[in-house]
Amino acid sequence: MADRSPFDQLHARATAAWDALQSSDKTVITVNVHGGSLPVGAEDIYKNLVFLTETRQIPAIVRQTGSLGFEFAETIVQVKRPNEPTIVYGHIGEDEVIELIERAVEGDGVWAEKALGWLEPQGLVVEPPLTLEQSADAAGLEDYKGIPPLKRHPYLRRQTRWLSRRWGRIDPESIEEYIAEGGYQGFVKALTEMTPDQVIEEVKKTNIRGRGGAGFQMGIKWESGRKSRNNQKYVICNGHEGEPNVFKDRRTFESDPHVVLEGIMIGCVAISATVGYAFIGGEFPLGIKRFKQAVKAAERAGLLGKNILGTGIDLEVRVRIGGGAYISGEGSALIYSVQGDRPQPRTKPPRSVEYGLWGKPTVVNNVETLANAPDIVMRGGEWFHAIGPDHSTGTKLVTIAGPVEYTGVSEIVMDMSIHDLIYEVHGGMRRGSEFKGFQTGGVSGGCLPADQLHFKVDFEDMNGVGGMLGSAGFIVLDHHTTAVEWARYLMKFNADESCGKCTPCRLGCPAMTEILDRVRFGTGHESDLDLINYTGKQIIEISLCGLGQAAPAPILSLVQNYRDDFLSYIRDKRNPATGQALEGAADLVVLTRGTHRVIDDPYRIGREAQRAPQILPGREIGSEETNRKGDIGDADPRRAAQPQDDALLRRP
Amino acid sequence: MSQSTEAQRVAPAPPPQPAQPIDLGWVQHLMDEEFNARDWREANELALLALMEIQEHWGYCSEDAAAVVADHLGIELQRVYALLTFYGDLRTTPRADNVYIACDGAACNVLGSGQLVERLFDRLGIIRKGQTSPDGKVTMEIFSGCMGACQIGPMATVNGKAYGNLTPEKVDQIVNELLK
Repeated sequence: MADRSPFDQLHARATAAWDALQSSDKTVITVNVHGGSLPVGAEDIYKNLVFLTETRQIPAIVRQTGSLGFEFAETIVQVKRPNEPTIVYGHIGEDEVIELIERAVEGDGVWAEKALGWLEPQGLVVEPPLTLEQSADAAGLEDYKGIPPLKRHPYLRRQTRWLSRRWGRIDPESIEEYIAEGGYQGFVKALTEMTPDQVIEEVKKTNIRGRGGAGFQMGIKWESGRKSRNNQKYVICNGHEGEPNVFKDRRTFESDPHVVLEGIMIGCVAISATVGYAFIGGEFPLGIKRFKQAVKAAERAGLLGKNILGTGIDLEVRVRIGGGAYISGEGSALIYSVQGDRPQPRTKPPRSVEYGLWGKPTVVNNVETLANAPDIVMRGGEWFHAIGPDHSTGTKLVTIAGPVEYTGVSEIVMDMSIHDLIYEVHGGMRRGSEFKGFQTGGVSGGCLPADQLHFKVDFEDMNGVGGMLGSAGFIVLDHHTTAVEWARYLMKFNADESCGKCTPCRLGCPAMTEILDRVRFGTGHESDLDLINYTGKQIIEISLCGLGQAAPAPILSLVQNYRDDFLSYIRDKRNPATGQALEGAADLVVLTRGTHRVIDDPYRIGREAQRAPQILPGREIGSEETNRKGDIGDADPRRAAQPQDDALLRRP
Repeated sequence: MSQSTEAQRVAPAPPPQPAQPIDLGWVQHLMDEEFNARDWREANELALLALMEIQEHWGYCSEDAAAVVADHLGIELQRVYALLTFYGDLRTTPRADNVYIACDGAACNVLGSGQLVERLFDRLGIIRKGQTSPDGKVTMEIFSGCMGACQIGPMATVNGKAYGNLTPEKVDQIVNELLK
């Protein structure tokens, strides 16, 4: 018989302990320790605070928590003195701990210069789709001792904190604090009060789309997983985040690992799987450590294991770690990686919900997608569906990196324009930087220039101009970066990370890198732009997996939107950002970034592989006549460049 | 360009001999303690985790150690080699005492890490990421993912300590310290 009393007892204990901490008569000092603050010394600050409060005999509790999303203000320390609100201090350096103690903990308890704002007892939670500023207005929050409420911080004003409401609040290594904040209620409800079909029905009502990049409907995926008949099924959480600018999943693992675990467990219950996997990229050791602890804690609490809460359901969650290959994030490659094979994607169908891990039906979902599951179960699908536009429901974690004022992980309702996201949430460009471009979809989307910023950050709106939401990792480029250098960087990344299984990506990406290198060192020709388009379209057309198909997309968009940059390199032999003349790699010793290689012949890779067209610089390919329709076949330079081949073929 | 000059230019510096080779007894002990598969599927799944664990302790994972892993888990050696050679994180040769890991994620790149990397390559006399400088003092790695500290980009970690907001002068200073 289902019996949820053990969980309810645990919940009561956890809530009591949490309330005791909130109303403690000691000062509670909380240090945000996560992957973004460790490099700037959070661990040292934590240890120093423990040491100083002990040696100075200050009655204080020093604890750790995850990220508040304020990457730009790390290290953040929150100080809550008895009977006072929490005050959040940012930009605390390793050598400022004593000053922090003297000014914020002792004395009058306010260090105004470092204070970011004060925080209510319930934290940064807000009911979506309200923004934090709206909720602050509704509550009539006012300054406390001259410090404004944190909800009115320029970085937070337009944000909606829901999925990340426990970030920077609970100790990620403590299951009790998660349970006290409403954790595992969704899992227990799905387990004891709902049938799997009801769970899937709620998920389908939400219209929620996958947060990993492809944007596939989560409800449909779960339903297919449910309908597959097999004695063994699996749920895999795709926590491999290899893109060079996205860290929302990493922060989720580091700040709130239990919500991911709960999402996996709900997914297992919904499709009747007994084993769930969390596949975590090897790049974030702290996230791995905290997630492993979460699994162990859930086992101890009786939420994982055999016969959970007397329902007769067995559940096991295994942690698997990737080895730093970007391709592991692709669905089928991820499954191969878990199986201990080389992670190389395969053709689909069959999709992984039919034939996945070890040939069994497998549901693969992104971390953020699964993290939404507990709220969907608790609040119902209609509640979720009401947030945001119909095609992009729910809130979205967004990372923006580059020369903006406030870098970090923000959470928005997907109804905001790109312009607002950059200038109203992330604070606009830093001083000395001029906006140049907005790279969408990690390394897989188009790069949008300044006149296209009115598009909305959602799954549909910017697709028409080549933009892509992807996993909502964006990069802002400033005028110091030229489109050529940026295209070269993205192409080099894709060439390095190509798994090597299918030819168009394995050879096409290095070939495009070489073309861009020619341009970069001043030996390019205008026909190279057409060659880029031609090669890129071929890669898109005939690559096997989504990553190969997306690899040239940003370069094509850069050539289209920033043609002047390319022409400046090609015609004027001048770097448009610095104005310097290009050195000209006349001997074509191309010392390329990341991989120094000597290229004696700029067309070598293409020629050796007999793949790319054999064209000599100077030959006009893809000119008006040959490229009139702009189709791939029309611009085939082999035909234009080598008429004698045709003569050979026509031999009697 | 003739074959020989190309060979001279791209030839990597010989990896320094490990101060101590991986203790295979230690590896065997680790496998006995932590990597006991319940079925053949799990044995395959555990191979990568075991390799990562060995590398975390010893700094690299030699082919001998991989053989112990394969032997213990009862899977084919070539499957383990396949993993060892595919993943970017796994190394079969040891690093030098000093490890300079430059972040070349998108954010750091936009903020100028590309030039810093090229400068470092010239300074250390290497041509490829993952190489050790000819005097065997510094191994240079490039992390093309994201280290997650984009607010202080361009950044690098040197022997586990992070350095942010790097400029060419700062980089020179760090490397001079390492090469001393």
